[in-house]
Amino acid sequence: MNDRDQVAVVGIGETDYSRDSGRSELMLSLQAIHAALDDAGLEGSEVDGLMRWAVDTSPETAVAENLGVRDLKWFGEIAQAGNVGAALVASGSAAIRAGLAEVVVIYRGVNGRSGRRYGSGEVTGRRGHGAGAFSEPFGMLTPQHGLAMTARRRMFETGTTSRQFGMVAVTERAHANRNPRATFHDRPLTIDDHQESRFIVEPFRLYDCCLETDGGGALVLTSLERARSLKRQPVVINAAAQHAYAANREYTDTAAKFLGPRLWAQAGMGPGDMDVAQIYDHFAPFVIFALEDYGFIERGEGGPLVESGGISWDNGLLPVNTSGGHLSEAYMQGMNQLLEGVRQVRGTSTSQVENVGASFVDTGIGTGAVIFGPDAR
Amino acid sequence: MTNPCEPNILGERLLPVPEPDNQPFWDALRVGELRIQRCVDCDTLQHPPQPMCPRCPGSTQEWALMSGRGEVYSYVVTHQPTNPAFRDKTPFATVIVELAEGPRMVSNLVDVAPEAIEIGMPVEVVFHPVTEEITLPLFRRATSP
Repeated sequence: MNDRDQVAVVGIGETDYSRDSGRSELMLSLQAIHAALDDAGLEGSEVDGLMRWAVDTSPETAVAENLGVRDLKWFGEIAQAGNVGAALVASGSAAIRAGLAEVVVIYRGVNGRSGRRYGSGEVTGRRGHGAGAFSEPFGMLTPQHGLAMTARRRMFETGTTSRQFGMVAVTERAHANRNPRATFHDRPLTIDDHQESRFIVEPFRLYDCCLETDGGGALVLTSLERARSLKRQPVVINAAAQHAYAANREYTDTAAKFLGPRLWAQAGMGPGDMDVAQIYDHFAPFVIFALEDYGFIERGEGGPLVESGGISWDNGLLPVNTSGGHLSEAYMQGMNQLLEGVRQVRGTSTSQVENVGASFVDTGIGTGAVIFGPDAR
Repeated sequence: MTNPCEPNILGERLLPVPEPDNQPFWDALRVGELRIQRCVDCDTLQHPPQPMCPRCPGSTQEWALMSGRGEVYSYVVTHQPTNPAFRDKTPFATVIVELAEGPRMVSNLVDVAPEAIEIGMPVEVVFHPVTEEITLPLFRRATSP
């Protein structure tokens, strides 16, 4: 891909993360966007593209009005659930390459703890309609139930243990303890804490589950050509792809098995080329399953890798969720992990990996992923 | 007695809402039959029901009578209820049963404590009327080999 066709992240921004923001979701979105535009050295009036999670409540028009956008040329939202971060990056990049917009902001602002809570099924429940008729009457009510069901079967097939799940949480907590923005910055976690924590939906224990968070985040995208004229070192999008469905898949295969090969082909790289990874940790076990299904490690070997310190920031084979992830930093459903993926290329993470040439971000266990890298020039 | 599906706790929100693509499934349950959608061209069984067979678009589907026998394929135990309808029922188990004929379905086990459930446990269907329209397919430990 020549420089003209490449797209870069030029600004990142976020709000504080809390249990009760006391602000509207629109305000959180706007505060995050302003932080990202300041970071990029751009004005709101220069934005001509806006993209968002369809499950969110702040429409592009309301955001554009508050930013003073002159001509909103490209906008859209992607539906499914929280797992569309990479899909938005892919779509925003495509719009820039196609000349449909020049400066695209991907944003969200959610009161995920004080307002609409994902874990209650409020956002995702089907109320007995459609596919929900065949699961909800039996108490399978939230995404957590389906994921716990997959995890249980995968434990049976691969021998992965609850203690190994726990080591994901413990490692991420250690990363959060180094990150002042993280919700659990001041609270350590031991493997005994994890193993003694109560079950929520067995086999998931309390510390296998992500946080619920109020907050906002934003990313600013533009062409690499334009990016080079801005104040920040551009962070290049080397690949961005999404996946939603594969016929005849095995029950315990995650989407990573299908997205992986396509993503690696798009990037012209393989799992072994990644220096650091952010992986969608709505539930700790899925970090292990994603590592296996993307091909970072063989099926069944992810648990032992994690147990031996393999995902730790300072000496791990592949440092994972270096900001603390959804388990210990904030549950911004992929957004905070996209921001951390950018920081790792910039060299500004609080758990910085040395010489990052490829920064991997999964935003939904194979339903979307991005590979960031430095400007090769 | 472990049975989270007793009628009194199933609020309106959690009752299945039959739709044209799956009405025959619910009709069969009401008369004590477990029937699963089958494509007349390729014989593929499909659950939950869908408007089309993905292999043979445009083909007709029929409703094949199942033996009602199967085994536990996976299970979870809800300890913290997220819906008021299940609040006084925890901990309760939800299972996926793999039917002898192949398809898998979400259900509950009756008369089996959550801690006694194992993957591979042989089970058989029991029909559990909830309202005049809705009978749910639940499962119990198989009584014969």
